[in-house]
Amino acid sequence: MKIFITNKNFKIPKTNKYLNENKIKAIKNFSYTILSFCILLVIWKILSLIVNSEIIFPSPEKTFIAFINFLKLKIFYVSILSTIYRGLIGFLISFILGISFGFLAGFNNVFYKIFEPILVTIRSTPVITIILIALIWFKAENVPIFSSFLISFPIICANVIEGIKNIDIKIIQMAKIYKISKKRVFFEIYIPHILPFIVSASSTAFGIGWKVVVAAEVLSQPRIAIGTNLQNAKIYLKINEVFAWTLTAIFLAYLFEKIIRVIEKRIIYWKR
Amino acid sequence: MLRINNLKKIYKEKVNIENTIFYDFNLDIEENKISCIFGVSGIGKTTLLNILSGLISYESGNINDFKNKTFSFIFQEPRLLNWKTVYGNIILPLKDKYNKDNYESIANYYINLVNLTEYKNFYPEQLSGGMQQRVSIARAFAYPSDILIMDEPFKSLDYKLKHSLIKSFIKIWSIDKRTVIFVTHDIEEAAYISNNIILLSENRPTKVKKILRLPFSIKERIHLNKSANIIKQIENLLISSL
Repeated sequence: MKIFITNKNFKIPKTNKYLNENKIKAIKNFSYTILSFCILLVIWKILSLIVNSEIIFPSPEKTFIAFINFLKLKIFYVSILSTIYRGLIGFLISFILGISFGFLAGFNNVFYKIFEPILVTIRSTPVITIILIALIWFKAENVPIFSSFLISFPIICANVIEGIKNIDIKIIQMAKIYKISKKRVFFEIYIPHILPFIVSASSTAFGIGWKVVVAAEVLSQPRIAIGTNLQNAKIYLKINEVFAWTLTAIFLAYLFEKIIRVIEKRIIYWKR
Repeated sequence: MLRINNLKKIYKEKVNIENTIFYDFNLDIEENKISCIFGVSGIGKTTLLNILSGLISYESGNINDFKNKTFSFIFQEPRLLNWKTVYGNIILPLKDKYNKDNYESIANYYINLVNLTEYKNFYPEQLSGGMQQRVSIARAFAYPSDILIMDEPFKSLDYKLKHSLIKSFIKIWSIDKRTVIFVTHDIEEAAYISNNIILLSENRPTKVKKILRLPFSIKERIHLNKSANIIKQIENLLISSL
């Protein structure tokens, strides 16, 4: 049996040495990320020196001072939370509807043929049009929710459809020969197969979603929101605050990307 | 005997072009023996397997002996679910047939027969190609089938692995003698795994050219002293019949 154990495809058992190597690799990667941020900061500083006007292009220090000041304000945290709330609600609706419609279209070809052009239309509509129409239809609070829903829905839907369509026909044939019940084929073959597609769709949807939510907030001006604060800072020409709020929005997107990566590792356990 | 009578199968390639694979095709398959169907690529071996197992339709003919039979398959590829462990993959088809205690012991028995007990809780992507194929062999035997179909299961494997798998297969089959239909175009594989070798014609529509009934037991072929001689004899017999 030795031949199998020494085969190159076989994973080395996780010994201490292996763990250490992983740790070193992680530290290395992390230091590259830090370096990348440092380069960004230097470029930012140089540009602000060249422009030499805090109103047109604030320096990193002024931006960070504004950011530190935010941390003392209650409105800062409340704004973040309410923006997160809108983003999550929009995402959740598109998640549920996207998966449901995705399954329908994935399994029913007639439905797919009717549904696909609609999906393409929604996906091709300019984001700003969606926001402008939402402004007419909804209250200020709900404009960002609707906009992020309409942006995320086609992404999730398309991924679920793709997942279903790209299932290995050979696996389905195997299930047929072994007479595995339809219900079990659905839950034990289709669902686990589609999960990675849903995770990657969620990551894309969140990535675009936050931008859309903030853009919609800028235009719809809900009482408490990152977008509202962004717009106010612009009106009062506090450009360093515009930058600081933008920084906040970037952190938010980064945080959710990380959360999805953690969830991915748990859901797609067989790839560990 | 499982009879195939007057089988007719046509593939419609385009509107007016028809490709007759089988016309008046007759074959008897001996039960509890290994029938090796030997023929060149593209002659319709896989088509025949798919017709017998009910995966595809056929124009006419009588294959009633194969209806209401249960099949297990060892495919060219392992066809395992990546999100299930070795054990999970093997119990997948058993769950609808047995209660928990039963399928657990059946699965463990066959996992042990293919020497994968240590790897029971591994996922397919953590295993080598040969180990994956052994999982597929265990799954096929663990399933209570009447007929076991093998469609070139050693095709993409290297020499050493192929031999090791052939040995595993013969070991299990000697314990659990099922009706096996084994399709291949490899002379050596045919020499190892066969009670009867059914030679197919080289032209369409496909016919049975000759049936070689081998006087050697299967188990002798992995016997250390005798095997080389027997395999050589069968190979020569097969080559002279081509």
